[in-house]
Amino acid sequence: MSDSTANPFRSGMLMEHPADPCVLIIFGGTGDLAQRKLFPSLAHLVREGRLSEQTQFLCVSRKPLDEHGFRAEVIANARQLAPDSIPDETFAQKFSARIFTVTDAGEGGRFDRLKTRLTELASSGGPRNHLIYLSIPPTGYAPTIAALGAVGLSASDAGAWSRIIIEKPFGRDYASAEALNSAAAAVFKEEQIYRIDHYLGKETVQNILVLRLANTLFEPIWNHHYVDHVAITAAEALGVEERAQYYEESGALRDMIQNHLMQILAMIAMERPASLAAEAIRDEKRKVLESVRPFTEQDVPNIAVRAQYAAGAVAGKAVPGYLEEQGVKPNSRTETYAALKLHIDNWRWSGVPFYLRTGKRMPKRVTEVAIVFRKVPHMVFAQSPVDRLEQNVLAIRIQPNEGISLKFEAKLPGHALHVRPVEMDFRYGSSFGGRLSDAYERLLLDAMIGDQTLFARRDSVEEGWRIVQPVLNAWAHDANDALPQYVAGSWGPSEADVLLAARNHRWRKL
Amino acid sequence: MNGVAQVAPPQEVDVAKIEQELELLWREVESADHPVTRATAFNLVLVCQRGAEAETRELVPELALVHPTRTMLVSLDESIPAAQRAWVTAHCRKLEGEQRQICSEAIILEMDGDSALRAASLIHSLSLGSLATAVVWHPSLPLAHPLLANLSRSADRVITCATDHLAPASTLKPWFELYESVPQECVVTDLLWAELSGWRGAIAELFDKCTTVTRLSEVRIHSTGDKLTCGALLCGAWIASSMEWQTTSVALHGRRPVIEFAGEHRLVFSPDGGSAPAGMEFLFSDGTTAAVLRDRDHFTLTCGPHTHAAHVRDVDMLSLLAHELHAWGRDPRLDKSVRLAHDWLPELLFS
Repeated sequence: MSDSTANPFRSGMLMEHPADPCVLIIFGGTGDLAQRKLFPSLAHLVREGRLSEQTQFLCVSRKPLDEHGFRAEVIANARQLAPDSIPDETFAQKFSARIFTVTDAGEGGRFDRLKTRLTELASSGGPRNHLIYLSIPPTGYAPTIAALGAVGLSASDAGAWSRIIIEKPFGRDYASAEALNSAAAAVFKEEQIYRIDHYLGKETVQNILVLRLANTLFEPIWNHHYVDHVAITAAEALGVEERAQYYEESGALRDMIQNHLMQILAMIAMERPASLAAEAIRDEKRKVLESVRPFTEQDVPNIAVRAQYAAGAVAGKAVPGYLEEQGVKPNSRTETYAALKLHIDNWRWSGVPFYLRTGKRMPKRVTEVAIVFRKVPHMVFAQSPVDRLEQNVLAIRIQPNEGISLKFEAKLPGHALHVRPVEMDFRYGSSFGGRLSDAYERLLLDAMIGDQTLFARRDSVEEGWRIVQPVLNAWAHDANDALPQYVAGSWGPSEADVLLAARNHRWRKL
Repeated sequence: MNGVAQVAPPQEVDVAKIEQELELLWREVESADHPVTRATAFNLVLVCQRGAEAETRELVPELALVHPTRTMLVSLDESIPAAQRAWVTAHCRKLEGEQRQICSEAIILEMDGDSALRAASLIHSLSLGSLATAVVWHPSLPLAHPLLANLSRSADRVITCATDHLAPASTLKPWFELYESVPQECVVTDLLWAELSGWRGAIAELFDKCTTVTRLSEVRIHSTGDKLTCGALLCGAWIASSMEWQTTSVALHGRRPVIEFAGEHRLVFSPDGGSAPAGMEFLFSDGTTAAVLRDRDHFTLTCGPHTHAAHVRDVDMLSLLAHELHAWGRDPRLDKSVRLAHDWLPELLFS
């Protein structure tokens, strides 16, 4: 990216920085993620004029792909999955004309045909900047990166840049994450690597920083003096659907907690960055993850819970248990629910537990962060009908119905002193009109602009794995213990309630 | 995103009972099948001359899609006997994937004769005090109007549509006066500034690539028409203020206004009688050049041998207004540009 400070006409215009023209090279362009998310997001960006007119999309396939047919498939899928991304036929033609294909399986550890195709595109006026998107199974990451390096596609020079976006999972444990990062670092510099965690592209997650740093109200109470505990929930109503093969190898801890929830925790708990520069924010995230109290395998029963869903009903519909799902091993011990209790050993958060939970086949799809404040220090209402006061809760809803609510106590109208909790509610949908951009739109655009703020840096990814590694080890070693179960459509196993009960805490009803 | 729908045709109500009538309206809306959220992010006051009411009214549901507000559409006709009439309505849109509707209310006011002068007091009483207020002043009304002066004393934001970029530069004079006269707390912009954001973005993009900006010595702004236009003047002022050039002289060379700056920098305006495409040339002290040319749907940016295209954004009134209503802070770039253009204008008009 050009240095904006050297361009006086950029002053005050940072948010309007256009994306550099580039060829977005998609590995796995025929896959679910590309068809469901990437192409519709790109169509929205093109519609809104946020991409350079020269930007092109090149899909790399292992098997021969008919370019014309592939374009039609992209348009048809986008129309079905994100109808407003393709408003009319004229736009469909304009958008699909930017899509190209090349067949290259990387034989001999080289992408020679890809390189040739890029040269052809460049010689016919196409951009020389390359943004590579790995939307392929994780086992393919290291060989693909090496093969890109072998033909020089990782090289940035004075006139053009090369960047790579890597989809999660970034490894399946600390060692493999370190190995993947080293493989990537052997070919690309860290400033070229964009590890995408789509949770970070969500509007409400970005709003966490604004909430904390643009308001005088919250930051003074954002510490152990006022916060009792923090609970981060990512619940899904769906089961494993067509992803059983992936999920069997992953499980809830790897799939959600190590990455998404750990990144959200970092945004909530980090210290104020010195600036909004990408590295300043990423430095603070690393520091707070480093401050998460280490624990051993022996501690795991007291700080972690896992479970599998049994048959039940979600939204009135009977659903099978995890072990009856297609593609799941009958004796699988993969957890579909995981909960963790963490502590951050620093000045700000001393003594404040952070509870993280995620699960499939829960009653509804909801992701939220609840900052639960301490009780009032003195119960002045002791001689009145008020027998208990609820704690104040600041809830940051990440999906759906993105917004923020604040729960506090209020007097019921009438002569008697009755108190009831009420909520002040802010919703993006009702306070701001217009369409909320999909997380992938924001992240793709940021990668083209060269802004790494919302992408995970190597150190924070490895810290995330360091934190959960003892849990992974403990769960791998207790292969004979019975795995707790929860009924599909419930909020998880009773063991997860016990995890909080020691401090008289409860999971929020969502 | 679903479209927006009016819940019912506007109902005429007693001006003194607008709030009560709105409450009744909401009860009716809420008793319908779908749950309703009454959403108001700020007060939006749209003021126009009676003849422009229909055109302005069309903006209301479209703006409600992007900005849920308490909208007050005020049309004035000072040529007829004093009278006040009011209507209330609401616009709703369904949230994606939900039954819930997000609704925002609109109050339509007709203020005739000298009641137009009292419109401000009615608008103040109907404004939700805890929320900010934006006033949009339609070009059908003069800027030197007592109602605008009165509203701008309490508004947080005033958006005028005083001119367009092709109008003669002289039409900016009353707007500069308004800009200087409103209280510091009130942020004033004209849609012309928003309209120029495309040009400003294209120039910024050009100099992201063209790293010779420190050697920039002369800028030639070609505009259609045979007079210096508002767009050219304000854009020129923005370029000069961005470069921190200090004005040394303002003069006409033939038909061409030329501004000279300390350090041998020049800004040359070339009204080309409509034949040449609108565009700008940038001349550097080392003899190299760059250019930004405007075509129908894109800008062509040229720096030395390199050329590329940049997207042109929508510049219809609705898009510009919707965009401007997102920005509530003072824009220091506009401040500097206005100050400079304001300084140049008397010389240019006098010449």
